[in-house]
Amino acid sequence: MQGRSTLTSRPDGPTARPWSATGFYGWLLAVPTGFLAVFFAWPLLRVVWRGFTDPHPGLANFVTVFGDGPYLFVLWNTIETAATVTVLCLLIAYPIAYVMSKARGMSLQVMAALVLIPLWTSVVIRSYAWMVVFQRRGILNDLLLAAGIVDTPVRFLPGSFGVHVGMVHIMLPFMVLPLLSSMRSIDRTLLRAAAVLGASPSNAFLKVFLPLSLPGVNAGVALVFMTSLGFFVTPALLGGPRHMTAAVLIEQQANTYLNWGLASALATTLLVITLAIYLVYLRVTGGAAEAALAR
Amino acid sequence: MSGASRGAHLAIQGLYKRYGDVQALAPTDLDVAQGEFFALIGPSGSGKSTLLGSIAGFVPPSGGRILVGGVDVVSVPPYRRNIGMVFQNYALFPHMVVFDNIAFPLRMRKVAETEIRTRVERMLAVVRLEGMGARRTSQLSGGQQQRVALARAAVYDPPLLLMDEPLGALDKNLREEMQDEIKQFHRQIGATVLYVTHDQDEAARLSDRIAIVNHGRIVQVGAPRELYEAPCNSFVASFLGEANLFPIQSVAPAVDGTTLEIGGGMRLATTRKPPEAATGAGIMACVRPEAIGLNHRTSAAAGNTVEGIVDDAVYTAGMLRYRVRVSDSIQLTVRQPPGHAAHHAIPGERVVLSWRAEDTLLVPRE
Ligand SMILES: Nc1ncnc2c1ncn2[C@@H]1O[C@H](COP(=O)(O)OP(=O)(O)O)[C@@H](O)[C@H]1O
Ligand SMILES: [Mg+2]
Repeated sequence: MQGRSTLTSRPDGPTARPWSATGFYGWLLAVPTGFLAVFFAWPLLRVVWRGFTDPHPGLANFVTVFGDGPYLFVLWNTIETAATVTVLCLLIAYPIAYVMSKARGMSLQVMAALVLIPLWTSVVIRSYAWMVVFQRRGILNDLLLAAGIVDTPVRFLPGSFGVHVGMVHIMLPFMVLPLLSSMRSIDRTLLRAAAVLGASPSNAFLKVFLPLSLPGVNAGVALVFMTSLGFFVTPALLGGPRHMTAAVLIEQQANTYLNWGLASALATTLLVITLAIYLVYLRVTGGAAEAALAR
Repeated sequence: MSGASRGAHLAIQGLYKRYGDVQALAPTDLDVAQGEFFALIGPSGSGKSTLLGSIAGFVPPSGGRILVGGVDVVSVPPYRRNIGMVFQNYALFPHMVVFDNIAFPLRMRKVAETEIRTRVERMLAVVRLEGMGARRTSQLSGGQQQRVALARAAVYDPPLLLMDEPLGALDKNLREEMQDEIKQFHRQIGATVLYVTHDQDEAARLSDRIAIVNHGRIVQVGAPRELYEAPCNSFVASFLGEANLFPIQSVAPAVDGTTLEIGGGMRLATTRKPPEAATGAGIMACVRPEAIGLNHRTSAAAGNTVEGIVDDAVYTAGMLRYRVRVSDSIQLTVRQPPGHAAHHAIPGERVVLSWRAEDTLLVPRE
């Protein structure tokens, strides 16, 4: 917002300030800021506070988290799962978005529908659907047995394979959409120019298309990774007790064991780790994204 | 930068392109000499970009041959054609600085990094952007971006350089400045240039020859002066410069030429020969605005004199431009340099227009 108008300022003393568009737009932020303060920042602060004070003031809860128990392992498992899901989503979504970004008219609408329609079904239902697919007497085992690939049903559940498939399925649209939007904003003349200037199709992709799609990659990776860290239903249903994630663990501590202090400490630790990873990621990719966005 | 011998001969033979039912380019033949500056002009949608895109390689033609330096390139992918191209919106890579933009074609050709450095620096000097290599393209003005695009298209010494309305996005003053630079640039690099524009002044200033394109066909090819003085039809006459065009009702032989009846009781004298057995229906009379003299009195020498009333008089860039009504349905445009004009008329004034019989051209109606 740089547009300023100084036409309306009257020279009536030192208090007269030029009217500026930014000054007015600032007020529009009042409501969202208030909302976030009351319903997001305050509860978050309460959680952090509770981690240090419940049941007794001190670091006891964090000592437990970083101690010998399963807690650190669960946190690590959560991050690893989120990272795996993010990478898988990126690998699968990039080609999909690439094809969609080139499509026009009817075929684009059909593809967009195929990407979006899964979003209309709840995560719970889709996770149960994957249980139907993966269980001992499920569709996948029936197919494998019928095709003679295996003799006895494979035990897919509970396990990380099911968790990964289920989460990738749920998160895929959130990777495709930012990628698609950044790819569609790439000027196709640039690719023609690259070709005329001597870039083979693979070089044109690597040197021009890929760098210009990086803002979408960054947005998609951040969105999918952050969301995956907080996944609850899918890992709980498909992963079983051994594939516990932070969200399940926190819920358990809070609701089953009523150990709110430890739950808060876990949540705080997860938050700090997430922020740290995000900041590192911004640093690493910041330059590239900025270069691609500077038009 | 070697001399003007490096350009390639370009020959287009029976090249055409259809998009479904739309004929974007009718079968076209064209010959551009080595090192020639050749312009294509025509209204929007007339197929200029299609022709250029076919030569560059990103528009697959429906048929025909494109010979660059004697070699048919139709089946060669664009990245192996070694042709240079400047796009209308420059198509600079936004994620690369100026240096990397210009170095791009050299890097694609696996030129050694040290040589890239010298060649890019030299090119930056040619387009007068020394020391700007580290700038982002978004930090450049339109004219500077234009020069980066020129440098990038020429740094690998392509024997053929295509330019698709390269100055279309610039304002008028900058455009004229850049026209001089492009002319200069062409002399330095010596490549054959095929230049698309819809601005006839630009084409006339820059080119050795011009092709006028309309509805996917080349209507006429010639030097700017040839096209202006001997347009092959009424479209060319009105597209290139201004023209007073009159439909002809009948044709009658006269003592030293032909008399044309143009309606409203008006007759025009011409020394030009109408085509055999012409009744006038297929041809039009064309008089250039600057061929017409504007005066108080009839001058005896002129073959044509008509009286009229000045509707308006406008002064633009060293020219006085009059619209003179000679009858209810006929209005003539007259253009004169103010310094030399015998008379400065004002709107409402009664004037006499006169021009020589040989300045009444006859052109087929298009
Ligand atoms: N990709 C395309 N698909 C369909 N029609 C096209 C396409 N490109 C150009 N055309 C049509 O071909 C004709 C010539 O276009 P173009 O060569 O771009 O004209 P110009 O550059 O002279 O303005 C126009 O009628 C245009 O609509
Ligand atoms: Mg065009």
